[in-house]
Amino acid sequence: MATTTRSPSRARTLGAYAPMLVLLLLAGLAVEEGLRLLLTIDPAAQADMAGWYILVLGVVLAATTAYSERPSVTEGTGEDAPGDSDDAARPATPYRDMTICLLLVAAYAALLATLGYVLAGVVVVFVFLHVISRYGWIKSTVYTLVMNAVFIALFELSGVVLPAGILRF
Amino acid sequence: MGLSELLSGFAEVFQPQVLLLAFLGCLAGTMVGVLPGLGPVSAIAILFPLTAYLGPSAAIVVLAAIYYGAMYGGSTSAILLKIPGEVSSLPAALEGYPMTQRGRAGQALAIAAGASFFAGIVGTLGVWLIGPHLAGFALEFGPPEMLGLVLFALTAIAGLSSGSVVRGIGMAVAGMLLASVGLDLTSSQQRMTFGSLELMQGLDIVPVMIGLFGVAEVLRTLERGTPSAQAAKVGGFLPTRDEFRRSAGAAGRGTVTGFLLGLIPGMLPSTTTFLSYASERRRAERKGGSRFGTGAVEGIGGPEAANNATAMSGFVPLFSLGIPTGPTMALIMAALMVYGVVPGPTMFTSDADITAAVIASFFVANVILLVLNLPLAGLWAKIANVPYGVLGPIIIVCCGVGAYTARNSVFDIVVCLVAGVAGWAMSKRGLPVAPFVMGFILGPMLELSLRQTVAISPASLVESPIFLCFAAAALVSVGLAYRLHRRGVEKVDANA
Repeated sequence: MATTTRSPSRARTLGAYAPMLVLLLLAGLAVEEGLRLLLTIDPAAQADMAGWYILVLGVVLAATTAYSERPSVTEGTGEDAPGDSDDAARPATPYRDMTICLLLVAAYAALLATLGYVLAGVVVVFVFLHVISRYGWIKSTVYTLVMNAVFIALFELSGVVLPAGILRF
Repeated sequence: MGLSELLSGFAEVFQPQVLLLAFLGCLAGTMVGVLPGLGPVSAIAILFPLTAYLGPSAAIVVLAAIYYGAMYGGSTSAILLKIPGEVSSLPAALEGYPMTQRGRAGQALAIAAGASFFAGIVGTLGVWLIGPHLAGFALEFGPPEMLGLVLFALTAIAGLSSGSVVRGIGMAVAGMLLASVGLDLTSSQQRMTFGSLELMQGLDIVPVMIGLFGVAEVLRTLERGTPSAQAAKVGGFLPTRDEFRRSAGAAGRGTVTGFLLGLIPGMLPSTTTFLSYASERRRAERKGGSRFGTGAVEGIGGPEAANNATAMSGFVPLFSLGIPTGPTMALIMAALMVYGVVPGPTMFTSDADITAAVIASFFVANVILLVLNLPLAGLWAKIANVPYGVLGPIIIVCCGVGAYTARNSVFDIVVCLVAGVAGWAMSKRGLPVAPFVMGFILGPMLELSLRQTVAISPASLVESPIFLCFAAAALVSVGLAYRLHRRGVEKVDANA
C-alpha cells in the first residue's frame, strides 16, 4: 500500500525538479567547457573569448535557473494550448502513444539512411496508423499506400532529394 | 526601393509558375492553419521541405503564401468550429462562434477576411515604405551598434513574451548556449561537442525549429486529444451596414496598433491580438451596450487586423536589420539563409530584386486568400475535422524530411526529435519557447559583434550613441516587463 502511494508522488517530485535539473546540467556543462577553453588551451590559439563567452552564459543560466525554476515558483505555470478544453476527447493511453511517436521519429532517422525514404515512410505511417491511431489492418494499409504515393509525388515534383536506399535503381 | 523595383517585383510574381506556386502556398498554408494547434510557425516548419529546392525568390514567395494562408486558416476554424488553430485566433473563436450559432457564420468569416486583408495590404505598404529607410540607417551600424541592437532584441523578447523576465532571460541564454555548440569560428576550438563529430558541425536552426513547433505539437495533441465539432452552415457573406461600420473602425485601429507594436521585438501577433481585443472590449463597454461574448464584430475585426498587421511589421526589422521579432520570423530567417539570402540591410540593396518579389507576393497572397477563403470556407471546416490519427503520421514524415533536408544529415532528425521532446516539456512546465528560439538565432550574432567590438576597442561601446540608446532601451524593456509581471502577480494575489 505504502509503495503504491509513494511512487506517483516521487514521480511528481522528480517531474517538478526536472526542468531545473536539465537547465542546471546545461549550465554546468557550459561552465566546465568555458573553464577548459580558458585554462587548458594554449593562449596562442585565441580561445579565451570563446571560453569567456560560454562561461558567462553558463553562470547566468545557473543563476536564473536557481532563481526562477524552483518547483515552488513554477507551480501551476504550465500553459494550456489553444483548443484545450473539456470538449477535447482525452486519449486513453497518451504517454504510450507519445513514446511510440518518438520511437517512430527515431526509426525514421535510422530507416531513412538504410532502407530509403519510401520504405521509411511506409513503416512510420503504417505503425502510426495501426498502433497510435488504432485503425484496422486494411484501413491502415490503404491509408499508408495513399499517403506515401502523395509523399513520393510531392517530393519528386518539388525536387527534394532524399536517400533512395535499397530501392535505388 | 522605389516604385519601379516594386513593379519589377510584381512582374516576377505574375509569371504563371510563380503565381501557381503562390496559389499552392496559400492553399497548403490554409489547410495546415485550419488544423487545431497548428499556426503559421508550425505550417512553415512542416511545409518547409517542399520549398527547400525551389529558387530563392520562388521559395520565399511560397513561404510567404504559406505564412499568410496559415493565419487566415486559423480564424476560419475558430469561427466555424470554435477550434482556434493558434492563440491569436482565440478572439475570433470567442466572438465568431456565437455568430456562427446564430446562423451568421458567413458574415463573421467575411469580417475576419476583410480585416485581415486590409491589415495585410497596409502592413505590406509599411514594409515597402519603412524597410528601405531603416535598412539605410542600419548600414551605418558597426559591431558596437549591432551588439546593442541584439541585446535590446533579446531582452525585449525575454521580457515581453514570457511571464517572468528572469525566466525569459534564462531561456534566451539556454538557446544561446545551444547555438554555441560546434567549432569556434575564430580559434577553431571545439565547444560543447564532447568529442562528437556530429556536434562539431553545430546545431542547425531548421531541425531545432521543426522539433520545437512540429514534433512537439504532435506530442501535445497525442497527450490532450483533439476537440471534435460539427461544421456549421456558412450562409451569406454580406455584413449589415452597422456591422461593417463597427468592424471597419476596429480593423483600422487594430491595423495601426498592430503594425506599430509589431516593430518591437517580442511583440508577437498573439500579444497584439489580445491587446486589440481588450481595447475594443473596453471601448464598447465605455459606450454601453457591449455585445462582447455574444458575437461582437469589433472583437473579430480589431484582433484579426492586429494579428495580420503585427505579422507584417515583423518583416520590417527582419529585412532591414536582420533581427527577427519572434519565433515565426526566426524560422523565416532560417529559411532565407537556407535559400542563400542573408536578412539584413543588403536585402534592400544587393538582394533588392528578391525583396521586391517578396513584397509583391505579399500583396498577391492577400488577394488570393481573400478570393480563396470565403468560397472554400465549408471545405476548410471539413479539413479541420479530419481525424488527428490521419494527420499525425503526415506531420511526422514532413518533420523528418524537413529536418533531413536542411543539411542532408540523419543526425538532424535526431536533433529534431530531441527538440520536440524539449518543446513539449517546455510547454508542459510553462517555460517560454520564444526567448529560447531568439537566443538560439541571435546568440551567434551577439557573440560575433561582441568579439568584434572587443577586438576594435571596448571603449567604442561608450563612444557609440546608438549603442547607448539600445542599451538604455534594453534596460527599460527589462524594467517594464518586470513591473508588468509584478503587477500581474499582485492582481492574482489580491483576487485570491
